[in-house]
Amino acid sequence: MTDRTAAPGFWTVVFLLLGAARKRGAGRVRRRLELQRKRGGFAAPPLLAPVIAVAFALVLNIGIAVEVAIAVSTAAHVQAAASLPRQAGTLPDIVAFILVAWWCLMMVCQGEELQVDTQRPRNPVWEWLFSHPASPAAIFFAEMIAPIAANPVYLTAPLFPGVLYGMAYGWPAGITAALLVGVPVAIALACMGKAVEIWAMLRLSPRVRGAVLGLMDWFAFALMLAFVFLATSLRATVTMAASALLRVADLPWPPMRLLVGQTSSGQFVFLLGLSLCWLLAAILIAAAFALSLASTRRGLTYRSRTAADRVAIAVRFGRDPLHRKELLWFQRDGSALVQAVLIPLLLAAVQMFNMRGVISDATSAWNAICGVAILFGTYFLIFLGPKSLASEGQALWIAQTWPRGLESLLKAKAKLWAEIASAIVGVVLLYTAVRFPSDLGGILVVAIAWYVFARSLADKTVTLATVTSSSGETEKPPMGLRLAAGLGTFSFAVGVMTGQWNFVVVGIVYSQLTAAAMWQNFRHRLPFLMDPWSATLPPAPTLLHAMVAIGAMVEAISVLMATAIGSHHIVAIRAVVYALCAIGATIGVSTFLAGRGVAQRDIWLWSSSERKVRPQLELDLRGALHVVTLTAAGAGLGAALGLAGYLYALGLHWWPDLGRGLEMGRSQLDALAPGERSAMFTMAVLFAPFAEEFLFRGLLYRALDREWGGWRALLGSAAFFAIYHPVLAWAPVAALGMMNAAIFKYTGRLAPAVAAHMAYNAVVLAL
Amino acid sequence: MPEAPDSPGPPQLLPLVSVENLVKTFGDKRALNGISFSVPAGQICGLLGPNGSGKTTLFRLLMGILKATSGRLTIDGLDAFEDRVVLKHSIGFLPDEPVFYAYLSARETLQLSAAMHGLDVPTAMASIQPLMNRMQLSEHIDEFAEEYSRGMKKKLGLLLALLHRPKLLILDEPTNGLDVEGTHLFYELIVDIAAQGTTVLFSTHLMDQVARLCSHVVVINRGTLIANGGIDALRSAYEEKSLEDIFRELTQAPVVS
Repeated sequence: MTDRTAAPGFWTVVFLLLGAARKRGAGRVRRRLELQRKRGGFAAPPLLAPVIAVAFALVLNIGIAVEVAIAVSTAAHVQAAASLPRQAGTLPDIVAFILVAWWCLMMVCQGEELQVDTQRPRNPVWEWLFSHPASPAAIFFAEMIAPIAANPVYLTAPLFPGVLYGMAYGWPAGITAALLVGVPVAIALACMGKAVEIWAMLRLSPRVRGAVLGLMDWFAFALMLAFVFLATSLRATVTMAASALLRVADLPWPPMRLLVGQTSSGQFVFLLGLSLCWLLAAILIAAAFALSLASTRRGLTYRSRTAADRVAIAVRFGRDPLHRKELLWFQRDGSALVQAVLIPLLLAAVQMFNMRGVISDATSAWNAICGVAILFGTYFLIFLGPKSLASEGQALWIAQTWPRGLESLLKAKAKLWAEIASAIVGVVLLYTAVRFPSDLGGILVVAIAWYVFARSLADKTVTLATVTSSSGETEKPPMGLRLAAGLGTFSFAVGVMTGQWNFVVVGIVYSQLTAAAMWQNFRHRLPFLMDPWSATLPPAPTLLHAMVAIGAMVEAISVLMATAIGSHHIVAIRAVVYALCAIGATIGVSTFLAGRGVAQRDIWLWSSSERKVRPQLELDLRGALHVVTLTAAGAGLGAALGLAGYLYALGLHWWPDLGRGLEMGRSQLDALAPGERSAMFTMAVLFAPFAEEFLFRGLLYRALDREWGGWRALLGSAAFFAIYHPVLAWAPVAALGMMNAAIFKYTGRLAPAVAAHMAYNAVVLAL
Repeated sequence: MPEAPDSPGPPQLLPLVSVENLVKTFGDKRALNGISFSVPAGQICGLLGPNGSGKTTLFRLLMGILKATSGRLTIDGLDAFEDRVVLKHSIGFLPDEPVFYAYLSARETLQLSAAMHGLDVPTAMASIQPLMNRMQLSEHIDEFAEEYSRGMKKKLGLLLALLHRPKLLILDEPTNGLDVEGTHLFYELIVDIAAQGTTVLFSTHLMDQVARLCSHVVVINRGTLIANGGIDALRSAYEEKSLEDIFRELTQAPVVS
């Protein structure tokens, strides 16, 4: 037994709690690094992260101070140049007020850690703290200034006034000001932020509380980013804003120059600025304490005033109960607006800012504006999807008591996300329709295509949903899956923007198929979301294997073809490169799959129980005869389709433009040397069909049939096959894809499909 | 003993929950260390064990949220993990501290859950109404569930678990946080529910609760099964000691693996 000592003193308690706050912040950083290391990713040495954080905060605060100084001097120049009939210093005062208020708001909103994630653990242990024999005032004081200990942005905040004073009085005075002005100001701002947080925790209902805390996080992040963006065009922005600001110059703007001690006669008095800053800091601290005291007066936990919190109309949960639930969340929970709109909006806006060079001249054509809106919507969904389970929070257990609860829950989220993104994109499309009324038809088609695309994109990105563990860290899905989700994401937006409509089709087909592939994998991972220790790989081959193999093949072809640009033999080279890459991809993926226990016959024969007809697996004489008959029939069908393809090409000559394109390709073929021609013929007829049937039917269609089944799988795999061919060939190639998929499914063998493909290629090339 | 396939045996002898050599590890941590027991249908079974003994892990395995590292776990003849989707129709679950959607009222939460179980919502709500009255939740049913007191949340959680008339009811420390009146109501309800044929499996730390309700007791400690059987058998094996003494004796004995 230890002796009972006297209660700890005021400052002991304060320093103890501040130490705990600092450890809390450092611990979060450390755990994040540990997780990163566990996943095998790059992990910085433990000391690097805090050093980077402090350096960043340092640059931020000094940078903003410099920005303020430059903006104010620019404003003074503008006013002097315009020789306005106003008192000198009006415009600089207004600009200074806006920027300093902006900085203050950013500091108030920072909190203990800067993070645009409303699900961060906020678990005040006030009851527990107050159960100790320590002075409540000390606990309170420590709690109020805890952000300073945890967040380096507050630690470096004194440099902001320091730099401004330094510019007015020279550096020794600047350093003095950083200590004498900066420290109290930083404390005041931290206190104010904490007071708002305490008020929100104790006085607001859970639904409004989430919104207030989320908005604070969002503001902290958005205002900071705004400073970074402002830095890129500071003078121009101030000059541009000047005329608008002068229009409101008659409002009672505070004489901001007094804060650095500049009197109306232009003289600088250090003590004047110092005492004014002290006064403001004292008022702010007093207000913060008053707010937090008023908040705690009615108890340390939130109690609802029952009558006010009753739900007025109980809604019915009918055909689509989960979608209804998500709509109610969006409508009633204040944090929904922050989580599902403001945060992704901000992050997407940052991406648009990064691409401002590309999109700046996109206002001249309707499709360019639509394309930019779709690019924005695409980014919006990419940022929103992985956050899907965050809005569930601790109530996730309810979904786990339902049959297929998590899957339907995530699909419902995806639907809501697509609807929100479409509403945002829709606003821009509506504006475009008003500006270009004659292009209404095109805009409508783009709008419908966007919704189809957005649904699949949202489906895809919710599979990246992370679950927050009880200690507050989120485990991200593996890098490979995150990369796979990005496959072909932007071709839709780029296609619309540049008017390359084949890209639009490619984007939609790609997005639909990757969504199916991601869900096929995710459905296997979903039961282990809470149990990563039991997770296993989905049984190979999956749709994703097929898509990666095909993607790798196309990538290799493009790279090799790029080296042959300008050659006279481009047609022959293309055929040879294509065949070689296709065979290479086939051998590569076969080897990979063999390592995962998939034999060749598992791909060439389809004997799964999904199919009604079981193929004969034993190759006796009758069986062999059967296969030969099937193969011959396949070749016949292929030849017939080839003939149809030829007629289709003839039909295209009705349109002179299309006919000219076809003729050009034909003349290139005719110009080939006989040796080249026969090499091309051999590759296209004897080699490529093996590889293509292996990849597109043996792997892709079969895996897609498991996911979609029926007509949708047939069409989907054929569309995916067609988009790798020239646009004019899409229709016959898609027909070939559908026919071969059907042959594969109903005979259970790939050989007849290969024969059909060979016959088709032979007929098309010969004619 | 050979049994005629059609003989209508006493229903309480058929095991509803059957656990065979169940092992669950998290990395190198062993949460369950090869336990075997079975719970006959229609019984009230108490699961006892000190903190950290593996009770919650066992419940999560039963719910199909975790997958067993080895061994078998079947409910009503179906595998708890492989058949987890079908089994959700016949399992009701109440966690230790239920948390609800902050934006739905209690009524809406019940309606949503009924719809997600594929029930006809008005019928399901009507069928739960008497129970709701008994729990005195009816007058608060249109308030936001997340603002309920702890005891009310437990009651609402029990309503949610009973909505689809499960064959197996799993309750994690059900009376934790309930007042005397609420605890008493819970006792009555559990007895009623079991009388209607539902098997109840619940964990608790309160010995008098077990003595009062359970016909079957399972005791685990540090992931190992210590005792399993009818409560009377347990009592007589330990010479009529109080259950609390038996429990302390069991859990403090060195674990032999």
